[in-house]
Order: sequence, then structure tokens, then C-alpha cells
Amino acid sequence: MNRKTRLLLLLAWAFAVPAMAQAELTLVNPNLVDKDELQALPNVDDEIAQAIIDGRPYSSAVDLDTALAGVMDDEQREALYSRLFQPIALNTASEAEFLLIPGMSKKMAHEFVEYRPYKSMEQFRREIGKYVDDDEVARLESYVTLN
Amino acid sequence: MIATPTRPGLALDRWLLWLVLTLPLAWMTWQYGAETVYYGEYLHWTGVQSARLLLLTLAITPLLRLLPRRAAIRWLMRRRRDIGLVTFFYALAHTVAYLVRKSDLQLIASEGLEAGLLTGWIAFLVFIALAVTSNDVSVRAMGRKWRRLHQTVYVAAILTYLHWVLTAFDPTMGYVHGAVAAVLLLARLRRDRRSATPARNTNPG
Repeated sequence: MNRKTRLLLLLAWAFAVPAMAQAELTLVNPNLVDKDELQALPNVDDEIAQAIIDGRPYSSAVDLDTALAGVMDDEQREALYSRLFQPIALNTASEAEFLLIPGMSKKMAHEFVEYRPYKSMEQFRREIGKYVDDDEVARLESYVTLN
Repeated sequence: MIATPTRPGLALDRWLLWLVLTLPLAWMTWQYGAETVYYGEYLHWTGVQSARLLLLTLAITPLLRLLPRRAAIRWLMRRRRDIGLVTFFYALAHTVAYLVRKSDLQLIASEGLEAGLLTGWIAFLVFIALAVTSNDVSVRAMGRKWRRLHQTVYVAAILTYLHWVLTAFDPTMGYVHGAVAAVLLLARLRRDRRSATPARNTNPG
């Protein structure tokens, strides 16, 4: 491998890694996703994809979790929620709802509630950014909504 | 917060000290009012600054014992009561921000019973007593009782750092500040024990 090829590979890697990290943040909405897309998600087979479609519309993450609790165990659901999630209303959701976010601790769920009302996502970023790094704030942000 | 004779009148250095210590609080409070600083940021900042100023207040006497000839330390000793009062104002801003945000007596009462907030409330009540009596009139009127009352600053300090550790998302800095306060408290207890023990007469004659 010559110098030029190595340089090109290095550049490709430098651009690909942030792009892949960005892609990881993309969550699909259970109310909008089609069956083919659902079946491409972790732990989702034909039966579970159909259960998700039959359970629509989901008004909250708890609704989605209740619908899936009968067909998937806790571990499978947590893995799925890294790709599919019903966004949580920051200003009205319960702590229990925030705990459905993968990797969420009780302490962090409490902080989410403590700083209400949120008037902007900038406020959310700064309040939660006191505790975790920018990547984690961005990941958590992808699970919540102000609407 | 501890009886230190103050010069009469309004000395320039005293004004400057108040200005330097309270301007950041005024600036942050203004920004909080203008919503460019958010509740959690303001609560955290006022709490941390108050805890740090408290450490400074507690450290002045041990510092003076270590460096009795340093003019800066002697000046700090003269201004210790002022620093204690500013500490109280930071704690007050911290508490008022919390009360205004919650603005529900039932919620405040129920949260106040949790260990993390109970320690903070008891510490704040002690600070009120210390702040109200941090003046020459109280020193003269209370006599020896004044000194005893102001020694409770150590109890308030322990409760303050417990409050920090119990309520913080990451309690590391609370432990660090608490450890420094514990060292200062131990130094104080050691000194008190020494001064309570009568000196042995080593003179054979």
C-alpha cells in the first residue's frame, strides 16, 4: 500500500466515523415506519413488526412499551429502543417514561424532570450538558421532544 | 461570622471586598432573570460559590496560625465576618431560586424531608442565625453566647457538604470540599483541646 492510498484511507476513515456516529443517533418513529424497515431493526421479526403496526397509534413511549411487553423481553426491547422510539414529551412525561430511554439512570431521569419547564432544546442541552458530554447529550436529545 | 473587631466607619477595603464578592452574584442573578442562564445552572453556581466561600471563611483562622505575619491573612481575619455574610447571600440566592421555581408549599415540604434537602435546610437555618447576629451590636449583647453560637458554623458546614454530596448528579466535588472542611474542623477541635488542657509546669524551680 503506497503513501497516497494510505492517506486516502485515512481521510475516508476520518469522514466515515463521524457519519456513522451520526447515523447511530437516527431513531425511527413507530407510528411512521413501514413493515420492511421494522424488520430490519434489532430483534424484530415478522410477528413483532405486525404487533408494532397493529398497536398504532402510539401517543407515548409507555404505549409502545406496553404493546411490546407481551412479545419481547426487557433486554430485547432495550436493544430495539436504540433504533425505534416514540419521542418523549420533555415537559409532561413521567420519570418512568424517561427510564425507557436505553442507558437511562434514575438519577438522570430525575434531572430531566427537575429542570422543567423547558422552553427550548438549548435549555435542555445546557442543563443536561452539565452532567454528560456532548455526544451523550445529543443521544438523549434524540429521544425527547418539546412538542 | 466569628467575633472579629471591625474598624468603625465604612472602610474602602471593606467596600471593595463586598463589591468583588457580590458583583458575580449580581451578574448571574441578572442573567438568570433575563433567562440567559437557566435554573439548574444558577442553582448549581450559587450553591458551589456559597460552599467555596464557606471554606474560605473556615480556613482564615488556620491560615493565620500558619502565617501570622502575612498582612493579607491578617486583613482576611479582619474581614472574616464580611466574607461569612457574603457566603450567606449566595446561600440565600440558591434557596430563593429553588423556592421560586418550586412555588408549591406541599412539594417543598415533601422534598424537604428527603435527606439531601433536609441537610440543606438545617444548614440554611443555622446560616440565618449566624448572619442575623453578624454585627457588633449582637457581639456586645450576646457576650460569650455569641462565640458559642458562631461555632455552629462547623455544624452548618458539615450539613452543607452533605447536602452537596446527596443532591449532586456527580458528588465528587462535594466530597473534595467536604474533606477540606473536615480537615479544618479537626484542626479547630485540636486547637480547642489544647487550649482547654492547662500547660504543664516544666520549670523545676
